[in-house]
Amino acid sequence: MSPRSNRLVAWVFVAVWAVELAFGYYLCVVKDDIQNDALSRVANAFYVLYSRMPHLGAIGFVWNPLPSLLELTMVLLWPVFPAIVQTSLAGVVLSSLAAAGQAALLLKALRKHGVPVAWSLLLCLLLAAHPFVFLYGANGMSEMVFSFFLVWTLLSYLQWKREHTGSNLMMAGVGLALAFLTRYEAVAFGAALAAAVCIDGLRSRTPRVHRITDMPRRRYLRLLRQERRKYVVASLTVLLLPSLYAGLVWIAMNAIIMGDPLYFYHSQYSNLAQSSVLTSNSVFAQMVGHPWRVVQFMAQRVWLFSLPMGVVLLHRARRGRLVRWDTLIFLLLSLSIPALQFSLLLHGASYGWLRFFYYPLPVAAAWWVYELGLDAASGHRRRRRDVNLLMPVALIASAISVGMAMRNPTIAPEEYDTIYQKWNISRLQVTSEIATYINTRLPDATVLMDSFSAFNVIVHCRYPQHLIITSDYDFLDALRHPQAHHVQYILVPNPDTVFKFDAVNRQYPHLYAEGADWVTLEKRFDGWKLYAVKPEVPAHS
Amino acid sequence: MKLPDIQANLSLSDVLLEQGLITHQELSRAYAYQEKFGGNLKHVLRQLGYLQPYKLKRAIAQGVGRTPLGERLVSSGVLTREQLEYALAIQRRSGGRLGDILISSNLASPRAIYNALAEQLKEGRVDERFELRTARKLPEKVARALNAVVLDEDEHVCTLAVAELLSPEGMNTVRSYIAKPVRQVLATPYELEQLWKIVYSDEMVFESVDRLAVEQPENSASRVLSRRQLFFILAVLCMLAYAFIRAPQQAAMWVNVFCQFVYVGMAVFKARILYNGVARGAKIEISATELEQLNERELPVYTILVPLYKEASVLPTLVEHIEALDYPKHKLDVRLLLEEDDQETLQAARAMKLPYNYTFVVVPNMQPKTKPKACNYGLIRARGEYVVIYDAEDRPEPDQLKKAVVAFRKLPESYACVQAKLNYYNGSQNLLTRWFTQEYSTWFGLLLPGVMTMNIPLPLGGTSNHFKANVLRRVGAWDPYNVTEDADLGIRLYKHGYQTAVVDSTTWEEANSRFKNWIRQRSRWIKGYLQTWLVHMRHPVRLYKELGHRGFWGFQAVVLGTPLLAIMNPFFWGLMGLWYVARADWIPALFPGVIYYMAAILLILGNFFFVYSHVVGMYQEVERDHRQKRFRLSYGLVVSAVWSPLYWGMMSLAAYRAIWQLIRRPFYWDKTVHGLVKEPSVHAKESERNVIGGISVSAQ
Repeated sequence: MSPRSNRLVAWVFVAVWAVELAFGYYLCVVKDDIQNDALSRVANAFYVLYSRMPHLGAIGFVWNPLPSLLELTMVLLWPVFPAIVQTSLAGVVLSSLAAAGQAALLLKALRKHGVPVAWSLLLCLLLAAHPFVFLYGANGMSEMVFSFFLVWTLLSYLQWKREHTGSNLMMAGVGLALAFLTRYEAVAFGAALAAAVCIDGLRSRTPRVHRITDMPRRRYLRLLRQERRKYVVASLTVLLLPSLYAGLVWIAMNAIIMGDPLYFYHSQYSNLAQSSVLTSNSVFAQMVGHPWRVVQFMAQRVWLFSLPMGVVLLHRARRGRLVRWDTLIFLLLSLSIPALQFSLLLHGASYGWLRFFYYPLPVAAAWWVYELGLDAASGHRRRRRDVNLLMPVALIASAISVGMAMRNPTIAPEEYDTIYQKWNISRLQVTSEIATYINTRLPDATVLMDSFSAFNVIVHCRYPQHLIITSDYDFLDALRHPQAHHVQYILVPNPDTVFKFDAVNRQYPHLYAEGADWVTLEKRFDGWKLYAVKPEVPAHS
Repeated sequence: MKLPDIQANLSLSDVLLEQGLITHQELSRAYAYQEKFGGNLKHVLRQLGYLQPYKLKRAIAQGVGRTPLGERLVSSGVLTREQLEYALAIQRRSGGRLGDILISSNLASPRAIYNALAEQLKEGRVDERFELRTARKLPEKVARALNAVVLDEDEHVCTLAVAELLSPEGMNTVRSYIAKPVRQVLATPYELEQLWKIVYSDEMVFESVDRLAVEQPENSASRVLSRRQLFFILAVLCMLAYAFIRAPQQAAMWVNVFCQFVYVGMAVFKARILYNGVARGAKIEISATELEQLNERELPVYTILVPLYKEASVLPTLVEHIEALDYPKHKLDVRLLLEEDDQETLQAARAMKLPYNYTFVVVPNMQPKTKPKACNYGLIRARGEYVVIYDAEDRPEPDQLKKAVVAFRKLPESYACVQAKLNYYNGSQNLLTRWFTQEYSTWFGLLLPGVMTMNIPLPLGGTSNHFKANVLRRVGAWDPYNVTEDADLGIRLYKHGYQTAVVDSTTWEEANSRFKNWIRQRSRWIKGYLQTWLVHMRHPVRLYKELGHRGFWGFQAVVLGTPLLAIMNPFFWGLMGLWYVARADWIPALFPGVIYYMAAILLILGNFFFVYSHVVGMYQEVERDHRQKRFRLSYGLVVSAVWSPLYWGMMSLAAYRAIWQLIRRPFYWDKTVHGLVKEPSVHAKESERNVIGGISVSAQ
C-alpha cells in the first residue's frame, strides 16, 4: 500500500465517521429518535461507573459485553455531559466509528488488490451509503459494530486463503472473538468459518513432510495425510482459540457472578425468555414448527440484502468458478447467520427484526474483494469494467429495495418506527417523566427499580447512586424485603408485555394491578406505577 | 605451508599474499581479469598496477631456486598428480595455502607436508619424539601472537619451534627477548599444540579459569554473593519479617501490590517484545544470492569449538554434521574440547581418524569443571577470525557459517555476536519435547528478534553463537564459574558496547524428552540467570551507568524477570485455588481497588495473550519451515502450545530447585543429556603428566 492509498483510507474513514456521527446526533439529540437497545447498552456502561455500587460486573450478563465496555470511556463524561448517556450518544459514537471502520477496511483491501481508486471508492461508499448501513451506523445499535468485526474477520480469512500466512489467520481469530463479544450471531458465522478453514486446510498444498530417501511411497502418503490433518487442527486452533476462550470466560463469569453458567442464555432477561411472549403473536406462533412458513417469512427480508450475493455467484459462473469449493465456502459464510435465524424462528425464539437478515450484504461485499483479486491473478482484465459495474448496480438495487422496505411496518417495524416516530418515542417520554418526577419530588429517596425495564429512568436520574438497581449486590434482598432494606419507593411497569419479566413483577405479580398492603400509590404514569413503601413498624412497639 | 615459486602462477600468488605484497581483493580481481582476458598472472598483476617491480623482486627472492611444494610432494610419492590438481583446483576456488588444503582434504599428513616444507625452505623440523631441553620461554602473549615456542637452547643458538617461518618483524620481536641467534624449526599445528601445553600449561589454566576473576572480578561468578549483597538481602528479609509480625495483613497486601506491578511490567515488556518480533527486519535474513556472491577466497579461518564430555557415542554424527558445513575445509579450525578424565571419549576420538584440521584440546582435569572453562581453554589457541560453539549433538544447517560471515559483514562494527536459531529435531517425540520445541521456536523465531530490536542486553543461547574472536578475547570470554555462561556473556558483551543479532539459520538439537532431565536442565538455566543477576548487581549504580537506562531495565526484565515470574507464579495460583476452596476474606483484602482490576485483566487477558501468541508464533515457525521446504517441524506442535500453562508450572518447579541449588551448590553443573554430573569444589593441581592425543610427553 502506497502512502497515498493510506491517506485515502484515512480520509474515507474520517468522512464516513463525520457524516454518520452528524446523522446520529440529529437522530438521537435533535429528534429524540433513540433506539431502546442502543440506550440500554449505554446504560449498562453507566451502571458500572455511576450506580450505587459501581463495579465492572454491573455491565450485565445477558448481552455480550463488548459494546458497553467500549462505551465506558465515553460514559465517563456523564457528569459534565449527561446527554452522552441520556441520548445514547456514546452508542452513536461507537456505531459511527464501526461504520467508518468498515468502509476503511474494505477500501484498504480493494486498494491492496490493485482495484483502481475510483472503483474502490465507489464500492465502499455505495455500501456506506446503503440506507440500512447508514442508519445503523448512526443509531448506536450493536449491529454495525458486529458488522465491522465480521468484515474484519472475513477479509483476514480471505487474505490467509491467498497467502497462507499465520498472522492473517490470527487476525481472523481475534476479529471473530471480538464479534462474539458483540453479538451471539458470531457463533453461527464462526462455525461456518471453521468449516471453511477445514475445507481449505484439507485441500491445501502447504503442509508437507520430509521425504527421507528410500521412504516407501505408501508411508510417505500416509505421513502426508497425517500432516494435512494436523495442519487443519493447527489452523482451527489459531482461528478459534480466541473465540473459544472468550466463550469460556463468558460462561465462567456467568457461573461465578450470576451463579449459573448459562445465565445469559436462559435467565428471565435472556432472549429466550423475552421471545416467549411471541407465542401470543399470531405471525410468530404460526411459524413455530413450520419450516415453509419460516422460509416465506425470511424470503421477504433476506432477498433485500442478497442481491450482491447473487452477483458474486453470477460472476463465479461467468468466470467458470461456480462449481468449486470456494463457492460452497461463500454460501456457507453468507447463509450461516440467516440459517441461525431460521432455526430460531422455527423454535419461536426470535423477533425476526429486519436487522437480523442484513449480514449476507457485508459478507458479499468483503468476498467481492477476493473475487477481484482472483480475476487480477488470472489475468481477466478485458472484461473488468462490466464486472465492476455489476456489483455497484446490485448495491444500488439493494439500497433502493431496503429503503422502500423500511417504510413497511410489517417487514421493518423498528426502522419504520424510527422514520415515522410512532411508538417508542412516547414510551421513552414516559420514562423520562418518571425520572423528572424523582429528580424534583424525591431527589433523596431510595427508589428500587429493575434496570431491565427502567434503564431510561435510571440514566435520567440526577442521583443514580440513590437508586437500588438490578446490578447492586443487595438488589434481590431489597426486592424481597423492601422495608428491611429501607426501600422508600418501588417502580413497577405494566406486566402485559415483556415487562412481565421485570424483577418487581416476577416477585409481586399483582403489585401493578392491585397494589399491596405494604405500599401506597405515589404516582401513576402511563404504563408505570410508583409506589411508596410503608416504613416497617418496629417489632417492639 | 606455502610454496614460494615464481614458476607457477599459484605459488607466485602465495608468496605475494604471504608477504603482504598484495591483498586478497587485488588477487581476486586479477583472477577475474585473467579469466576474462587471459594472460600470465604476473603480467595481469602488473597491468592492474598491483605488482611493482620491487615487489616482484622480493617475491622472487623468497622463492628462487626452490621446487614447488606440490611438485616436491608428487616427486617424493606422497601425492599423485591428480591429487595435486584436485588440491590446486580447491585453492583456485577458495584461496588459502596448498599445505592446509592437502591436510584438510586428508591427502597428506601434516607431518609429510611439514617435512617437505622444511626441506624446501631449508629449515629444520621438530624431532618426531621431541623433548624440551630448556626452561626459557617467551611470554605467553608474545608466543601466542607469533605461534612460536622455545624448544632448545645452547650457548650459541636458541631453537624456536614455529608453525611457519617468522616474518622479519616477528624475528625482531623474538630478538628483543632472546639475545642469541635464533634457529627456526617447523612444527605441525598438532606438535605445537603439545609443546604449548607443556610450556604454557599454567598460563593456559590462568587464561581459562582465573583471568576473568582476576582482571574483572566484578564480572566473575566465582563468588555468589558479595558481602554487601548478603547484608542487603538479610536486611530486606528482616524488615519483611518485622512487617509481617507487626501488621501481617498490610504487609501481605503491600507485597502483593509490588508483585502485581512486577507482573504488569513484565506483561507490558513481553507484549512489546512480541510486537517488535513480529515486525519485519527483526531478523537478519540472508538470501541465497548473497551466499552465492560470497567469494570463498576471501573467507576467513573459522574456529568451531565443540565441548565434549562423555559423549563418545555422538562423535561420528558430530563429525558428519561438521563435515556437511558449506565452508572451505582448510579454513575450518575444528577444536574438540575433551576432558582429561574422560578416557572413553578421548579413546573414541583417537580411534576415529579424524581429518587433520580437527584438533583435540584436552582440558586439564581441574576445578571448576564446566563447559565455559573448556571453551576458554579451547579459545586460547583458536586460529579463527570467527569462533562458534556447537554442542556435540548439534546439527547446524550447512549454510550457517557462511550466513554468519555475511551477517557480520552486513552489520555495523558494534555487532560482535551472531546467534543462530536453535530448534529440536525430535520435537514430535512426546508432549514435553513438543512444549520444548514450541518454546524454542517462539523464543528464537519471535521473542529474541524482538529483544534485539530493543537494544538491551540479552542472554545468548547455549550453542551456535558466532563471535568475533578478538572481541570475545577482549571482553574476557566465558565465565568458567557461571553455569549459564552464555547468558552472562551476553550481558558482558553489552557492557562493553557490543550488540548481538539473530541470523536466520537453524541448529537442530536434541530436545530433552524426560521430565527429570528437563527439570535438571531448566533449573540449571534458572540458577544461572540468578547467578548472572547477582554478579552484575553487585554494584547496581555502577551497572546503571554501564548499561544505561534502557539496558539496565532490560537486564532486570530479562535476567531477573524470567526466574522471578516462575518463582512468584505458584503463590498466586495457590491463592486463587484457595479462594475458590475456602473463600477466605483476607484474600480479596490483598487486592485493593485498582490492583484487583489489574490482576483480573492480567489473569483473564494476560495469560491468554501469551498462550495465544505462542500458538501463533509456533504456527508461523512451522509455516516458515514448510515454506523453506525443510519440513523439520510439524503442525502437530501448534496445538500443544495451548497447554503451555502446564509447562509454566514445570518451570516454577525448576525455579525452586534452582534456588535451592544456588544456596547449596552454586557451581554445580547439572549435565543433562546423559544425566552425568561434573562437580567442582576448589582448584586442584592435577597430574604432572599431560596426555595429548596418544603421545606422552614429559613435563619440564
